[in-house]
Formats: sequence, C-alpha cells, structure tokens
Amino acid sequence: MTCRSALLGLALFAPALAWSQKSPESRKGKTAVAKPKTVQIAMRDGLRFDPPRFECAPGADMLINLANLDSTDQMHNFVLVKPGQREAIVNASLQLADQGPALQFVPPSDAILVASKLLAAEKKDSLRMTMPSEPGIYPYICTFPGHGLIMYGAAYVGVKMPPLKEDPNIPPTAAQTFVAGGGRRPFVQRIFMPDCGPAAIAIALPGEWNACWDAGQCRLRYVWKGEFIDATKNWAGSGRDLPVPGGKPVWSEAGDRFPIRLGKADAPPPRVKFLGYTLRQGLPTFRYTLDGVLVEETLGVNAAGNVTRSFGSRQASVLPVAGVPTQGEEGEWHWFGNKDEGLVLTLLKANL
Amino acid sequence: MKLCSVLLPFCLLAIASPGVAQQPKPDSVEACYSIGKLIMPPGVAPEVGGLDAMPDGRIAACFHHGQVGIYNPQDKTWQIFAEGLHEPLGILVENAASILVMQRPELTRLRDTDGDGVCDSYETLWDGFGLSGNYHEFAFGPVRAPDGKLIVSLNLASQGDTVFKEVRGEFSSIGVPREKFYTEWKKVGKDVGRMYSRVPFRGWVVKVDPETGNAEPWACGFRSPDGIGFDARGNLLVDDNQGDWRGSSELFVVKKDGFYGHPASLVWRPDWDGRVPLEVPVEDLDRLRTPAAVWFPHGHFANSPTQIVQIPKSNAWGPFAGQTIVGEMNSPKILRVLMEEIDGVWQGATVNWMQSDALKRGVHRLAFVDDVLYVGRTHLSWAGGEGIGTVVPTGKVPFDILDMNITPKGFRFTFTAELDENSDTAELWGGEHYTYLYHKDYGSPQTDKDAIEVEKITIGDDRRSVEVKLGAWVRDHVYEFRLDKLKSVDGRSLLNPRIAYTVRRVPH
Repeated sequence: MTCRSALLGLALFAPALAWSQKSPESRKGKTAVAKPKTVQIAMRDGLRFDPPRFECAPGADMLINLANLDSTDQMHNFVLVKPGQREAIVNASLQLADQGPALQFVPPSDAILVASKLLAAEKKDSLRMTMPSEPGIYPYICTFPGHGLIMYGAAYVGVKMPPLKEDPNIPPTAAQTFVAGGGRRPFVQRIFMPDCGPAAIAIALPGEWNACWDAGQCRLRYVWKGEFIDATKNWAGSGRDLPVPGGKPVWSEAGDRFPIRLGKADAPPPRVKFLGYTLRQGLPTFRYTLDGVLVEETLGVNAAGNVTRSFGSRQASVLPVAGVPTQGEEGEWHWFGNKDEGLVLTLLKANL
Repeated sequence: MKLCSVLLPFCLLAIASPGVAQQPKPDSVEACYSIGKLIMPPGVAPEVGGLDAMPDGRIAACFHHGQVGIYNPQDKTWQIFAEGLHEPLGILVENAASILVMQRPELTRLRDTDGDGVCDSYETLWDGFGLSGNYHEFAFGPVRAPDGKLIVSLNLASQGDTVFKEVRGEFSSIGVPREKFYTEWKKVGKDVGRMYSRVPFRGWVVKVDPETGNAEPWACGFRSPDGIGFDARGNLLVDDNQGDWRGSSELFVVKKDGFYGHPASLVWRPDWDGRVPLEVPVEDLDRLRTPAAVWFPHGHFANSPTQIVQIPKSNAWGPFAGQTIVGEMNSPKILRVLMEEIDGVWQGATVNWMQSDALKRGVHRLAFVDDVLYVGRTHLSWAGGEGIGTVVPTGKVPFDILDMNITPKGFRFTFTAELDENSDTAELWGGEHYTYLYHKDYGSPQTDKDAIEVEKITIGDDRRSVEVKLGAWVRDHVYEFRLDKLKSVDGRSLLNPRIAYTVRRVPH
C-alpha cells in the first residue's frame, strides 16, 4: 500500500521531477516525499507573530523556522499547544513566577506539543515536527510573561482557514487595517509621517488630495493624490512603524525653504511658533506666529480641483518667498508641482 | 432525592459548628464591588489614554487613534467631541466646552466655540519640549495641582529604535554624536542606554501654566512616568515602570528640582556639567537621587503601574474614602498606596484594593463620578486590555487591611473589621523583607531577602488595630507581610492578605 501510494505520488510529480533534475536531492528520487513543509514565523514589534496563522495537513512533516525580529529587544518563544488550551497555558505561564526563567517560561503541561528556545532579539530557532494527526486549530503562543495575552496565532491542521477578518483564533489586531478617518474627507490626523518632522499633521482633503503639514516648522511639506494614510502598523504596534501614505508626493517643498515672508519677499526666514488649528467644515486653518506676528493658513481644494493654501495676517502683508512661485491673478501665486498631475498650489492673500 | 437525604445532615453539621470544620474565606470582590462595562462607541479603537469627569456627570475619554468621546451615563450614549489627535495619553476637563489633552507632540486645549457640542478649536497650549520621533516618547497628563497649574510628564526614548532625521528641539550629543544615530545606530544603539533622553525634558515632570502656556521643568529622573496624581494632602505622586535604574516599579513623592533616579534626563538640568550620565558612578547618582516612597514589588503587586487618583470622600466607598489608588497594566487589579511622612521622608505601603478577572487587565486610567469608578484600559501593543469598565460599591465592606503605619519598634496595622481573638500568635504575621538594586540593568531580583522577625503582637482594645513588634530593622527594605491566615471575628480571611511597606526611615 505504502509503496503503491509512493509510486503514485512520484507519477503525479513526474513533470516536476523532470524539470528539477539538476538538484542533487532530486536525483535520489526522494524530494517529493521527504522534504518537510516549511513555514517561516517571525516575532515582531507589538507582540505579534507574523504570520498570525498557517495551514497544514494532519500528520504533515513540518519545519517551523522562527526568527525574533522584534526591534524593541523583547524575548520571545513559540509554543504550540492542543486545541482550546491557549488561555490555560498563558495562565500557567503567568503562575510560574520565580520559577519562570529556569523553565524558559514554558510551564510543564501535557497540552504543549512543542516549544522553541527562548529567543533574544535577532536569534533564530527551527523546529522539525510531525503535526498532529487529529485535525484541529492548534494555537501557538509566546509564553514569556505577559506576552501570550496578545501574542498568539493559530495552526490550522486539516481545517480550512476562515477569511482573516472573521478569524476568531487570531488576535483581533492581526486582521485590522486602519485608514485614518475611515475614508472620510476632509479629515485631520496628527501622527508620525515619513519625510517630515515628528510633529506631523496629515490632512485628507476633498477629492483625492492629501497633505502633510509640519507643526514643528509651520509649513506644508508635501501633497499626494490617492488614498489617505494606512496607519495599521503604526497603531497596531507601539508607534514605531510609520503610516503609509496612499501615493507618492506630487509636490513637496524644496529643502527647508519657508514659503512666505511678512512685508518683504526677501526677508530672512522667520522664527515660527505653532498655535494650533481650527476646523471649518472639517478643513483646517493653521495658526502660527512668524517673528511674533499671527498668520493663518487654510488648506482646501478650489473649484478647479487644485489644492489651495490661503495665508493671511491682520498685522502684515503676506508675500511668497522671493523667486519661487509665479504670479497668477491678483493676490494669487502658483507653486507648480508635477505638471502631469495638473497640480497648482495657490497662495491667496486673504482678508481676515 | 437520595443524595440530598445523605448530604443534608452533614451540611447542617457544618453550619452548626463553624469553629471545627470551616476554613475562613475572604469576601469575594464581586460581593463588595459590582463590576460592569460600557458599550464603546463604534469605529473607535477602545484603548483608553485618558478619562475624566465632566461637570455634569458625563465622562470624557481619549482613545488610541486620537478621538475624544463623551459618554452620557443617563442614556448610555457616546458623542465624539474631537478627532485626529496623536496618541493622547491624558485628559483633563476644564468645563463642558473646554478639554485639555496631552498628546504626543503637545498639550492641547480642545474647545467647542460655536456650541454645537463638537470641538472646532485645537489650541496648542504647550509644545516647548523635544520630539526625537522615537516611538517610546509618550507624553502623559495633565493633572491639576492644588495651585491650579498643570502637571505633565514626558517619557524617555527607547533603545528599541533610533531617532528621526528631523527632530523638534535641541539635540543632546553628550556621549554619542548625533550623526551616529543615523550612520552607526546598530553600534551606538548599545551605548545610548536602554532608555535615553536626547531632546529636552525627556524623563521630566513639567509644570505648565494653563493661562499662558509657560512651562517650568519641575523634576527629573523618570523613565516611563505613566501615572501622575495628587494625594489628599496635596503631594504630587508619580509612578514609574520597572526597567533600567528601576529595580521594581516605584512611586515617588515629587518635589521641585528633585532627581528620581533614572540618569538619562540629567542632561537637561540647567546646571548639568556635561558628563555622560551613564558614566557617572552609581554612588554619585545614588547620593543625588530621592529614592521611591513606595516600591511595587514586581510579580504579585504591580509590573506596570498607571494612573494615581484619590477615592472620593463619599460614604459609598466606606472606610477607603480619601485613600490613594493606582492602576496596573499586567494583572486585572487596582492597588492602594498608604503613605506617611517620617522625619520629612515619605514612605509607605501598597496593597491590592481589588483583583478580579471581571476588572480585566490593562487598567490604565481611573475616574470617579457619582460613586461610580470608571476604569479605562489600554495595551499599546504590550500586555493589557481594552474598553471601559465600571466599579460600583455594593455597600459591603470586605475584611481588609485599612492602613499600615511604621512605629519605632515595628508596624501598626488597622483593619476594616474586628480580629479573631486568637490573632496575637506571631506565626499569623509572617513575611519577608528584601531590597532592590539601583543599577543600569533592567529590573532587579529581590535582594538580601530574609524572613521578617516578629517578636510580639499586641491587639488594640478596639480589636481593629494591631502593634507588630519586630526584632530588627533593615532600612531601604520592603517589608512584605503575608497575612493569609489572619481572620476576623466573624470568620473571614483578608480579601487582600499581602502588603508591602517600603522602609526608608524609622520613627524615634
């Protein structure tokens, strides 16, 4: 029987074998049956296994390659347990108290099928095992104290995985994606942003426009078209991973150039102080002082579909910095971005 | 039927002779405190950064993704007041139309200027501190000081990552030049310290004027000061998490210009001599610092203490009214701290107030409104929980330790109920004393551990207070008593039998 099914297997895999004849292993004629199924599992920032789940056949010969890629210097392990035993083992690991370190935080239990070494950051381990012959959903956990409460995943042994978002066997955060504001426009979200100072503000504008405004420097940094920001990784972890804007900048302010001057277009760059913002129909008006003089800057999108920034001050005339933009209508200057995108940024001298 | 008739006589027997067969049992937490939960607003990740009461009895909460919600307990509805804040970790209501929030980049005043119940003005009250972009630079507070000023606290950065190319504020290159944070992080990351302070006031507690936004750096030496609050005597209390320079989690009574042990923040002292804090001999740092008033022993007591608030002086909370409580991230509990001043030095004990699975882990923020304690949970990707729970006292007072004071020869315990008449046997009063090391390593084992040597027990006339005379003292030790076997006159054991007192001074 065994012999026959092995032959059948070889027959089915014959084309593949012929194709990979150059491999020394395949010449032995064993590859198709002896090579274990491999899964790579990383331990990552935010106490999570990546991937949070995998599928395999009952009794499968399995190689589980583990790597602690957590950059926050946390220790982790990988403990595969019997179905339904996740919480019991997590609690048992918490009960270990002083004995924990000597046991590498793995509680003695019949419910544990396999446990890796305790891995410091950047360390690896491999587990070769025969998966259980009983189909079921086998949880895997990090039993380092406190971690297992949220750091777990599920091995689907002979059981089909449900859609990620409906999977009750993985941490709720593993299935979520977060576009800040949930797709509403306009929307203002303060969050770390790429290519900006740390006091960044992301703005979803009408249409498909989006902007990144730097509250540390009081100036617009860049504008992109498309989806707003995917903050999933930033919010799922401790805030280390940056959110991902839904497009490349089609315009960005060059270097550290400050866009406007008060009174004289060739005045030196002003000293800035951020005062906050107000919202009108969801659109922000940023308030700041330049050398002590209050300026307000409103972002929006005009009827022509262009991003506008309107600057104004009660105390001084606002001028664009010398030599950069071209003048349009009265009181209007244009910053050209990517011409293909049709982007024109408009500066208006608002009457406050 | 048959089973009943067999068992019944035994049951009656057991009830009839409690002194013979019954083991004393503690009151259940649920019998004394009714624990419930709020339905959270849809579309909001229910990790709570801050909780505070509105003047009209509603509750304001801020959440992980930046919303501020207001909950009305009358009709059990939420209203979103503000959105888009950057990791707000503290909230203070000024009035129905003005709320202060400490978010990662600034202390912000949220105002509803047009009266539609939604914030339209996000006014920067104070952003005069540094941001390196490091993920661990959380900002906590504000709480209001007795003088009306605001207190906030700033977390250190973590060695888990470097800093942004662009930072806000002055950069300190003491010990490691800035460019190496970008070019040789793998190498220098090992030298910057587990937790580091490269931009102003990281590791500081700061006082801010709510009118002008003027800030006064108040005290330094902190690591991850998530919990700030005032006790009933007006002491500023700040707690901090076990880690480097923190043998176990600690609670400090904070005074102006004090230094509280974690050296990274010293570089922002105006008179700092420019030395690399990590190269200052530990003995020098030890002389410079004010040690913690209370250690939270890691493991049983707290691994990650959070907000500090007072229990209101209301009859509903029984004998605990006016005491100070602290949340805890890693286990489903709230602790009490019992403090006193001996020769000008604050010290005291910590004891669980309530521990129950119903409370859930991640107790981060606490707010009392009309005899209801609201409990906001978070995890921020560490151990913890989500959502908001409620705790309502049922009126039943558990048999508990009410207070613990140091005396020249030992301790005086006070209980919420009269003790059993046989409570003066020394073996009922056992425990251990130990200390924690002050060093740059992460945490410390319990060190110099020994059994508490109890010489004599004297029960007071009121049967609720007890003098425990000890054989000898070791200062700067935690005295952890395990009173599991103690019972009340009505046969109950203690709801929270373990208590840990940090001895700094012994009265004469």
